[in-house]
Amino acid sequence: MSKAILLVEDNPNDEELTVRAFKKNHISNEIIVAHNGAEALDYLFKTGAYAGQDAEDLPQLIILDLKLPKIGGLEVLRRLRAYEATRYLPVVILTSSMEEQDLVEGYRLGTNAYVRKPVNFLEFMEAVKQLGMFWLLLNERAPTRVSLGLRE
Amino acid sequence: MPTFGLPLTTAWDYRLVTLSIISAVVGSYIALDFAAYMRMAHGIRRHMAFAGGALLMGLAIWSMHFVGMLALKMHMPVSYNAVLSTISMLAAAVGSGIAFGILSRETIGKFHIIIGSIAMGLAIVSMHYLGMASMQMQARIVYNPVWFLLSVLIAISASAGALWLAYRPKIFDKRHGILQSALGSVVMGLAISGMHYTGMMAASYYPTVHLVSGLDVMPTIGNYTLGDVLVVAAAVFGIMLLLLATQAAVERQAALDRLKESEARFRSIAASSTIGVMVTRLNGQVLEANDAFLSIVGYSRADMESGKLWWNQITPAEFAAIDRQKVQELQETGAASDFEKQFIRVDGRRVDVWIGGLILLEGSSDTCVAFVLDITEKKKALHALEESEARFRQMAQSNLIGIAFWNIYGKIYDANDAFLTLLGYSRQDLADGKINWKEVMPPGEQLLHAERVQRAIAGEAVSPYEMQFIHYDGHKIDVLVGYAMLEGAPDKGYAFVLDISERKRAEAAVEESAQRFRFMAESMPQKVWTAKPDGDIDYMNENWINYAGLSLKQLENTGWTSLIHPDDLVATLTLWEDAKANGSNFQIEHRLGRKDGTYRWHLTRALPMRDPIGKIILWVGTNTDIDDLKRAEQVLKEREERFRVMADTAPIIIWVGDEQGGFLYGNKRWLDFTGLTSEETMGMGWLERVHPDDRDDAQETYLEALQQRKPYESEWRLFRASDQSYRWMVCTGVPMLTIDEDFTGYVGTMVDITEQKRINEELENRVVERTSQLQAVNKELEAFSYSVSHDLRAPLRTIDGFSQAIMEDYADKLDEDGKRYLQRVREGSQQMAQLIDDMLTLSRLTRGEIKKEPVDLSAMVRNITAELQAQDPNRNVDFIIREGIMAQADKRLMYAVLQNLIGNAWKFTSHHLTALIEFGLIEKPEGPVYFVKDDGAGFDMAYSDKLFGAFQRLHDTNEFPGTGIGLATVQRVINRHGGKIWAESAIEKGATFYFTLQEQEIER
Repeated sequence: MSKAILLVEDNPNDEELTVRAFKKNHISNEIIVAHNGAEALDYLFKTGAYAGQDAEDLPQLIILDLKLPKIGGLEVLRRLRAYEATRYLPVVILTSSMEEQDLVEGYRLGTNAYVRKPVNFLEFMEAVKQLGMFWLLLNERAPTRVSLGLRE
Repeated sequence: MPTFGLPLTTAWDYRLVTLSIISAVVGSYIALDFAAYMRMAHGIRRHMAFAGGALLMGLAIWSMHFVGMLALKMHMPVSYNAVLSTISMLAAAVGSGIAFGILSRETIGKFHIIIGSIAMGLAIVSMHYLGMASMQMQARIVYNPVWFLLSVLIAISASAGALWLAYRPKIFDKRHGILQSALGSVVMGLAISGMHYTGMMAASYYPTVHLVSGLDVMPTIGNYTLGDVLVVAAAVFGIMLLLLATQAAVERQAALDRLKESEARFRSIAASSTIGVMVTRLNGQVLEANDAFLSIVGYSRADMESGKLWWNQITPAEFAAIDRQKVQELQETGAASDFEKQFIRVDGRRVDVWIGGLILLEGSSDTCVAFVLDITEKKKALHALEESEARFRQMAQSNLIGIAFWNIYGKIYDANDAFLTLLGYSRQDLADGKINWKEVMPPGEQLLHAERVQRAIAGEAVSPYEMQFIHYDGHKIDVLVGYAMLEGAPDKGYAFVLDISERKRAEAAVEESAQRFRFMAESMPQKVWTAKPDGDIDYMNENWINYAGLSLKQLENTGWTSLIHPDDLVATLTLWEDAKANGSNFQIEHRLGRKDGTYRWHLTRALPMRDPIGKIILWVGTNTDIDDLKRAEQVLKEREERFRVMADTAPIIIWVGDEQGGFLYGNKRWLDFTGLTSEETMGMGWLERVHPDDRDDAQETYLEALQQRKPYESEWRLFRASDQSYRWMVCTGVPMLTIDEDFTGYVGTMVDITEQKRINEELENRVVERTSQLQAVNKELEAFSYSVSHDLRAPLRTIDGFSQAIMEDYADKLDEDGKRYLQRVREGSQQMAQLIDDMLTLSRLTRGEIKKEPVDLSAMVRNITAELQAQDPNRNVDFIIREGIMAQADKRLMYAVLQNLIGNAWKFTSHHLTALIEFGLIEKPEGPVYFVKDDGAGFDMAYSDKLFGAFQRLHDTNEFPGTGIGLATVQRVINRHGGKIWAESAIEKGATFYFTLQEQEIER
């Protein structure tokens, strides 16, 4: 279990601005960027390019965009919630749209938060700062896979 | 005194013995007659008769004794002691008096006869032996006790026989009364003489001296010779006989006078013209009768006087029994109660009569007098009334005629039972003289009555008149009264009284019935009339008179015919004559002339009214004005014709069905369409032209509608004859109801909808197609706006983000202008983002369902204002929010509406130091009108039409920021709720936005 942040973001501008926002807010956790849904799933399930890596090496927070090439953000969410090891990973949807259908579906599939990317970069920075503060510092992670397994 | 040898031999002079017996009989007759008179007389006469009878009886016994003594030849001188012989006579008188006294009572039994006989017998015995003791001669009398006793017994028993004959009820009938008293006298005479001679047989005479000579000399009593004395006694009896004869003559004359009076009474009744009187033998021969009776039976006086008129011969057989019964009643009691019968007149007609006052003439056993009253008219009247009312039966059974005899002082001294019954008095009241005219008459009648009585007394004929009497119990009785004076008795009259209260009542009833008919006839809306059996009109009601404008005088009889339309006259008269001839009902429709000269159609009917035997007594007719009806009928006919033409020229099929489901009528188009004839379509024939696949359904739906009497509508295919094809038809029918809501079937139409059906199908197909197209577009639109919301914002973030990065990272390399330009870039990108958000909101609100639920608008406004105040706590804004405003609306959309409106108010008051924002409600009849009011910048009403257009702004962006989409969104939401929004404002005077949330009731 690492302290990394998995940022699922296809737009390089948004990726750079997000990373910038984390940096500006002095959040120094490792940021792993997946540029589409498939890449994100490969990373989480240690498949494809990540095959053979430690299955225990899962991020502390997943920041998930919805509109992604290949596999959409909601599909990524559905799959990782279906998988034992990733079921309780904190997921924050960070996206441009506030479409109701996305909000409903996101929460139905088990997102932990839904944050709209503000156009104003200062507001964006503030949002990222709050996100990081909460999920990385304040929030307690769910117990490990083993203990969960025992509990079942 | 010594006696000498044998008793004297005596001899009898039998002539004198006979004389003695005769004198005893005659004396007894006279004495008994006196005694009988004594029983009937009263007062001093009774005492005198008593004394006279006793003395005469004593004298009779005494005379017999001494005549008997004269008959005894003793051949020696004899004298009688005057005193003792007088005493002997008195003893006989006293004994007889005692006997008469005992027998003077009203009722005499055996006991009285026995005691009386003993007294009488002892009277005879004592006289005899006292008489013997008064003998003065030269001999001594010795009595044989046996003969003595025998003499006493004979005296008593013979007296008993005589007295029994004289006093007992009649052995013989009245005619033999004299015979009976004669017989009594003979027996009494024999009693006296029988005792005497038996007593003489008991006596033997022993001389006290030697008889010198056998000389017979006349004995003496005192200074008189016995012969002289007896002559005197005979004279006494002679005088008595003369007296009795005179008395009898006087009495006979009195009886004769009474008879005369009674005859006069009858004669006067007989003379009256109203009541028939006859004197007749019980065997039937009419001896005497008055003209009234003769006219009743129609015989002449000559017929009667020649002895040819016998009432039993002119009596119908069925009355023979009652006649016999009445004759028997007469014979037994001397009178008979009244009764009704009939006589056969000489002309063969029968006449009803009432026979009353049947009494035997005084002193006669076979002649009676009878009143005969002709009651034919009364019977007829009775019969007529019975026919209509049957009420008079009672009267027929009652005793109808009362007869009363009165004197000029008003006293009614005699009356028959009918009269007494009528007035409720008893015969005792009559005997006591309690009844007089004043008593039985109401005061109002008394003057008239007195006047009539005066006229009757004056000898005038007083015809019977109607008046009232007062019954004993106080109620009034209607009577018919006639008076007449008794002939030869100027102070006495008689009256006959007929009870007519029933007739009066009947008359009143008839009058009431007639009045009721009149009232009914007058109250009827029709013209009503009556006609006599011969057809002559005798009554028409007010309606008739008013209609014709003529008087009853002008209309009655046949005057009415002038009112009948000339064209209808012959038919009317023909039918009327037929009806009259056959006694059948009369009915015709014809025109009758009104007073204004117009003719109106009338239905005239007349029915004969019949009496119980079926004779027509009246025609009752009505005329009903049917002119309007006729006209309406005509109009109806025309209308029906018009309908037929209309139906036949109509381009659609029109049909009529009956209430059973059958076909009644189809217009020309129907016949043309189906190729059927009118006859073929009748009933269920139409079904054959329906497509076989639709037939069952068509019939079923029709019968179902019929059963429920509901409007009918169905579609099925009908065979068209012209091109041999089936065409789709819509068949509709509505139930036909009469005014009384009676269901009579259906009237309906059929329209060929084949073409329409085809078009409809096409249209439906097209709609399906269009809908799917629209859905596709919608989907695309959704996808589009989804992309927009994601992809349009990303570049803006990039612009803003990197502008900010430049300003942060390269601040030292940029001058103030450079920084300001970058700031402009950032603002532009942010404004663009806002615009995109608003547009997306607008588009989102266009789509999606509206979910209406109760929404607390006041609470919503409170939340929004709190939010605004939190965002900008420095603003000084007052809110007036009316509490509890609820609405049925979509919660999310309403929030957007209120957020926009309140937000606008907040925004447009931002240039003022203080502001007042109000949310409220106006109750209108059409429904609630909500409003948001502020006192901010306001706007020019000239541009109010642009207010709700998208991207339309009335203010500069730098003055008040905004995208111009808010009110467009608000309007769309309000419209989607079925409401309206409008605004009122003026520049710097604030603005008020009004909205409603549903279509107003009235518009709906």
